[in-house]
Amino acid sequence: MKWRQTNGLILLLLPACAFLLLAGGSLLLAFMESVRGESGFSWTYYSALFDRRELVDSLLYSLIITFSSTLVSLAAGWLIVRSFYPFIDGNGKWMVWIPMLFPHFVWGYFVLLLLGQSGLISTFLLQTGLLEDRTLFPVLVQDQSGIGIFITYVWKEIPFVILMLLPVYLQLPKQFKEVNAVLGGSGADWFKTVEWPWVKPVMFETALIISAFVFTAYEVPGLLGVSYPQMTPVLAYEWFYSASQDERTMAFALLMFVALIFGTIALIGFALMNKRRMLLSKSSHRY
Amino acid sequence: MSLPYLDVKSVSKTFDTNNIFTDLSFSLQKGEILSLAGPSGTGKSTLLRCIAGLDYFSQGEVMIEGSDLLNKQIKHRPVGMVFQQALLFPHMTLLENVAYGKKLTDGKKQAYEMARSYLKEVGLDQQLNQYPHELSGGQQQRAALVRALLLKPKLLLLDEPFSSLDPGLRKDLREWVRAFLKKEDMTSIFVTHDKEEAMLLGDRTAVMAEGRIQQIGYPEELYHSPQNALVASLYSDVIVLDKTRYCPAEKARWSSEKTVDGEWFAAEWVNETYHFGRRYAHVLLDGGGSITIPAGEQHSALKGYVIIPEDEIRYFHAQ
Repeated sequence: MKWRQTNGLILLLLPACAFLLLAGGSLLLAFMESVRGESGFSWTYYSALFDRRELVDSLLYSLIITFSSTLVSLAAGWLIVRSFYPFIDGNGKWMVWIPMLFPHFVWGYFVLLLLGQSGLISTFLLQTGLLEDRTLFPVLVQDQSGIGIFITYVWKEIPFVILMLLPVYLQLPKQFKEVNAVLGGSGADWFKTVEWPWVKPVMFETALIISAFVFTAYEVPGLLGVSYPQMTPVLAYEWFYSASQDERTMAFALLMFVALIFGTIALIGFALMNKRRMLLSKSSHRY
Repeated sequence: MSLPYLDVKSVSKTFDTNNIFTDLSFSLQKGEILSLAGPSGTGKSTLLRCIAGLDYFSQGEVMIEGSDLLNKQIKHRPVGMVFQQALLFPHMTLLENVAYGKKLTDGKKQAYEMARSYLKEVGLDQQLNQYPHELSGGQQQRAALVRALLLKPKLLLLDEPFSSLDPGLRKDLREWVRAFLKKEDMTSIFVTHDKEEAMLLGDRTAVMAEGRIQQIGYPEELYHSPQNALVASLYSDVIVLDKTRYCPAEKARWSSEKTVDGEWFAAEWVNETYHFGRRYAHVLLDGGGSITIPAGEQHSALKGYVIIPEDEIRYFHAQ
């Protein structure tokens, strides 16, 4: 009993430690792999990354898809939440969870079945006579511009954005709306002074989660992408399983590089927003 | 007699089919403070919210300095409001909070200058860059008051601004607020459900109950000459005998025996307290209800009678 009292805290921390060990250990191992040259430690693979034309194209392609799908998901999700949150009571929130039950791969496959040239929509159009030939249906999936990937991510991430923002909107301090009004403030002042400061941290977190996921997840671009250009995770996967040991190490270097960039953005963002978050949590409003 | 500065004429508020209040009328002179007292749920806060523009009257008219207040948009109404909580924006410093409204109309420089000068006047100039959570409850409410006054409203509405404070702080602050409002010559309506607070802050008091203003007048009028049983029980220290008669509690006495001169109620002595050197008995009437009466030199007895002397019975004079 005494042992349990003394070591209770350590026991409680075990799951978190196990998780950190798994994630931190994987990161450490990946880093060690990425700097393993022929004769010991080397940064060669990092400097060689940008000599590869396919990587530069891939990064650009990935950045465009990541930014566009993150931006559109955020904007659409935000708009939906802002428009409908006054009508949503506590009982309606479960509906937002439904799209979350489907994995990205299933969603991607669904988009493929729906929007492919031999998909449900083109078949319907063909059978109703609105389309003469399947080849006339626009190439929306497995296309060079990544429209299919973009549609899948936007479609899948909008519910996620709603899920993240809805609790913030349901808990917005409405009393401050009245304070703003009696002090002569307009709707724009309310947005600037209350709504945006409350929403911004969650918006940043959501944007970070979505962009990190879109930039690094394999399954959707693997299913809906083309052979060139490829999104970065697909390229990393191919390098990882290629016959060349050098490419395998470069895959590690590439993923470490991406992890470093996202990690830095997250750290800077949290550092900038933590004080504001703390201040908001001290609010004296009641509803 | 000059025209009233604020004239509230026959205002009513209906929510669905319920009447929150009906046909309220009162007027104030420039610089006058009206305490609006009464039990919770009688529409006192709703009345203030309607005047401020946060809610709407179902009917009626409010004139301020001869112009119609209700026709104006909320942001153009010359009305300031202080709420139950200070409601300072938690992510802004004291200076930013106080200057907020003024900044919207007059720009940052002028608003900050004015806010600094006001904050100095109320003794908060050392806390300019502190955040609300670093200030005490009293400091926060003072800041909320200054924030409202900085806009130089014609009318200030205070909706139970001390209710979230502890009793000691509350006592200090209400005295300070009255002095400050008088110094600013600010016409104000102050909502409270505490009769002592109503007397302390208001030049006059309106007792609001059951959706109506039951009586409006100076504290001594309401206290010594309540117009009906409701006002008497809410504002005065009396024993209400029936709808038409009452007796000041200080004239009643405790006795272990009935009396032939006057009226009596069988009662149970619950306990006793002392106030300004006098002993008071808290008794429970057999017919229901509890009252406080002077205990005199009587020895406390578990059972006894509250004696109402015949010549101390008074009558309500409803107007």
